[in-house]
Amino acid sequence: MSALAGFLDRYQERESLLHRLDARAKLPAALGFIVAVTFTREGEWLTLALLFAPIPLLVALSRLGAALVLRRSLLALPFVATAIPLVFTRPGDPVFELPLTGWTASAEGIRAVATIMARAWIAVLTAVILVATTPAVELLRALRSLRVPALLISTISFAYRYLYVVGDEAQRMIRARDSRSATIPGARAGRSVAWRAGVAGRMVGSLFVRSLERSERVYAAMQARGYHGELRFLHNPPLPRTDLALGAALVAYGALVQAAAYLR
Amino acid sequence: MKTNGATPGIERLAASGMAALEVDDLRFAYPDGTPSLRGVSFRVAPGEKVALVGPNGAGKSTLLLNLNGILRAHGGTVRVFGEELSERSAPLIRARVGLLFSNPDDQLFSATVLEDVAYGPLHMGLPEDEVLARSREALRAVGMAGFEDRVPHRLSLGQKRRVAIATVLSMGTPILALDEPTASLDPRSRRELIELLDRLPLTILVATHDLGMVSDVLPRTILMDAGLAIADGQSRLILNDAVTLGAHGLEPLSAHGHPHA
Amino acid sequence: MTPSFATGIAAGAGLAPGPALHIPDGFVSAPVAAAGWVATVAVVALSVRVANRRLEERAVPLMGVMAAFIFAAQMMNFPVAGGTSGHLLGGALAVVLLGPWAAIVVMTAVVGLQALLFQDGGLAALGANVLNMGIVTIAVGWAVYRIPRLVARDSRPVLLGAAFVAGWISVEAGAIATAFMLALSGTSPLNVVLPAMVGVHALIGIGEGLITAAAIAFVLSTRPDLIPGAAPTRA
Repeated sequence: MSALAGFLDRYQERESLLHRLDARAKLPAALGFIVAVTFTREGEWLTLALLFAPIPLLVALSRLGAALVLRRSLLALPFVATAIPLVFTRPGDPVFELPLTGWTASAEGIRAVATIMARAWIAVLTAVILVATTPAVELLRALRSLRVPALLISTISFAYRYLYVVGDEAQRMIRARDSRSATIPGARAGRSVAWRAGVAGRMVGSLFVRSLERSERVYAAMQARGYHGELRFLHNPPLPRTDLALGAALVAYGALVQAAAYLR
Repeated sequence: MKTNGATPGIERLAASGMAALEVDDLRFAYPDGTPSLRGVSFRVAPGEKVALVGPNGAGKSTLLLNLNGILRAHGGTVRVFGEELSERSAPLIRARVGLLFSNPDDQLFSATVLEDVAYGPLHMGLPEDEVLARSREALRAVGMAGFEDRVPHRLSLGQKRRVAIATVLSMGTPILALDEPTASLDPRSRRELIELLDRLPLTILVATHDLGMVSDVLPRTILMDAGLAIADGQSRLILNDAVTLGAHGLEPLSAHGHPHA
Repeated sequence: MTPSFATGIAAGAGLAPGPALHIPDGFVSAPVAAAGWVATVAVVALSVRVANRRLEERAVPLMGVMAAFIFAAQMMNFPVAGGTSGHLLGGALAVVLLGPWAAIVVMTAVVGLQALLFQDGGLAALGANVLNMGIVTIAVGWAVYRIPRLVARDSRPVLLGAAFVAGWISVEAGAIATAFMLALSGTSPLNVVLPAMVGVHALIGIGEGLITAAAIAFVLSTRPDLIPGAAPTRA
C-alpha cells in the first residue's frame, strides 16, 4: 500500500444505502444541491434551515457517524477569515465596539458573514458525505456522464493513479532531507530562507526529471500493450432508475426551496 | 572519520557503560490505524554493529524512521547517548543519528555530488571551509574522491549508495542507520559496500534481507516480525536457527548457500 | 475601521496551512461561480484540443504524470519561520516546463482532483478556482517568462531570472483574481481583501519564484534538453 494512501484517502468503507447509490447519480445530485445552496441570499435563515434539513438524514443513511462528518466539515473554516472584515466594513446598525480599536460591528455585517458561513458549511457537508461514501475511481468514472472531455478525464485518472507513486517519492525525499537537517549546539542551523527554498526547488527539479522519465516508461508500456492514442473504456452498466430518481429528488428539493425563497 | 565535537568519543562512552541507542517499548501506528511497532525494546552499545532482519512489513523501516524523529512514536522512548528523543530534541538527535534511505535517489537532490554531501554540514551552520573539508573527507572515506562535480543521476546504483553514505558521514553522526543498503547491487558493488560498513568506526544498525552481509560484518541480529522484536542475539546463532527463521519468512544461510563465499 | 486591521484578519486566511487560493463553496455568489465556469470551460476545452494535437499519443501519459508531479511538488515545503512553511503552487513551473496549453490541462487536473477527492476548494466554485489557479497564473506566468527573453538572448541567468519573476508574479495574479472574485461576490470588501491577498502573496510569491527558479536550475544542469530555449547539449 502507498504510504500516502493512509493520509490522503477520504473514502470510508461502510455498508449503507448511500454507499450503494451509483456515483453517476450521486455526483450530479451533490453538485446540483451545492449550486442551489450557493443561491441563498443574505439573511434567508428559513431557506438555510430548510437546506440544512436533509444533511442529518444523509448522515444517518450513510452510517458514517456525525463525528467524522463534522470533523471533516471544518476543513474550509480558515477561509472564513476572508469574510470576517465584512462585520466591520458593512454599514448598518451598530451592535458592539471592539475594545481598544474603535471599530464597530454592524448587524448587517454580522448577518452577511453568518450567511456566508452557513452556505459554505452546508456545501462542505454535502461534499464530505459524497466523497466519504464514493470510491475515488467511481467519482472519476462519473465525470464521463457529466460530458467532461475524454482526454481531460484520462489525464485526471492518470494523475490520480500516479499521485500515490510520485507523492510517495516526494514524501521519501522530504524525509531524507529532514533526516539530514540537523542542529548542533552553538551554531545557527538552517542558513537562510532563500537557501532552504533553493533546496526545496532542487528537490522539485529532481522530482520533475524523474516524473518525466516515468511518463516516458508508462507511455512505452502502453504502446507495448497496443495503445495508439485512442483511449477505450469498459462499457458502464446502465444507471438504475431508482438511483437517478433519488439524486434528482435531492436537487429538486434544493431548487424548490430556493424558488420559494425568491418568489416570496 | 572524525565525529563532531559535540559528541563524546566512542571509547570513553563504551567504558562508561552508556548506551549509544536505547529503545524502550516503542509503539507506532500509521494514521489509518495499522499498527506498525507494538512495543519494541533494545539497547545498542557504542561501536556495535547490529542487523535488523525480518519479513516485509515487519516494521524495520518504521523503526529506523522513529530513531531520529522523522516519525513520532505513539508510546515508549528512544534515547541517543542518554538524550531522550522529543519534538524539541529531534534536530539535535539528527546530528547524532544519520539515516540512509533504501533508494539513494531520494537522498541525493542536488545537481552535483559535492553539493549534496555538503548539505548536512551547511544546514548545521558550519563555516564553509570546514564544510568543504568534511565533504571531501567523507567522499574519500566511501571511495568516491574525484566524483565531486559529477551529476548524481549519472552514477551507478552502487556509487549512489556510497555517495548517500557520504552525505551522512559528512555530518559526523556517530550512529548510522541504513535501510536495505545492498538491495539490487551487483556482486562487486555489494562487496565494496559491505567492506565499507566493516571499516567505518561507527555504531551501525542495518535493516536488511541480505543474511550473507549480516554474517560477514554484523555480529548481532535483532529479528523482527509484526511489529515486535522476536529474537535478539549473536548473528551466528540466529542465522543458523532454521526453525525460528522459517517461522518468520526467512531462510537460514545454509539453505541457499553463502552466495559470496 | 482602518483597512489595516481587517487586512490582517483576511491575511490570516493566506497564512493558514494548505493552499490559500482554493475558494470553498458558499464564498462565491452564484453569478460569479457561473461566470467562472463559462470562462473555464471555454479555455480548458481549447487547451485540451491544442495540447492533444501537439503532444499526440503521448498527451495522456505525459500530462497525467505531470499533474501527479505538480500535486506532489506542492508537498515540497520549506520552513520559513515560527512553524510556518512555504510551498509551491506550481503554475509558473508547469508553464515553463510544458508550455501554456499542456500546463492549463495539467493544472485543471490538479485543481479538479483537489476539489473532487480532497475537498480543497468547492465543487460549484471549481470553475472559479480553475480560472484563478489554472488559467490566470499560467497566462500571466507565461507572459512574464517570455518578456525578458524577447529582449535578451537565452542564457542561464536570463532563463532563471525570468522563471523567478514568472513564479512571483503568477502567484500575485492568482491572488488578485481571487480577491476580485470574493469582492464581486460580496464576500469581502475589495479595499480590504485586495491589499490582504496582494500583501500575503507578495511573500508567498517570493517563495514560489525561488522554488521555481531553483527547480529550473536543477533541470538546466541535469537535463537541459527538457527546457525550451536552453542549449541542447546534455551535461
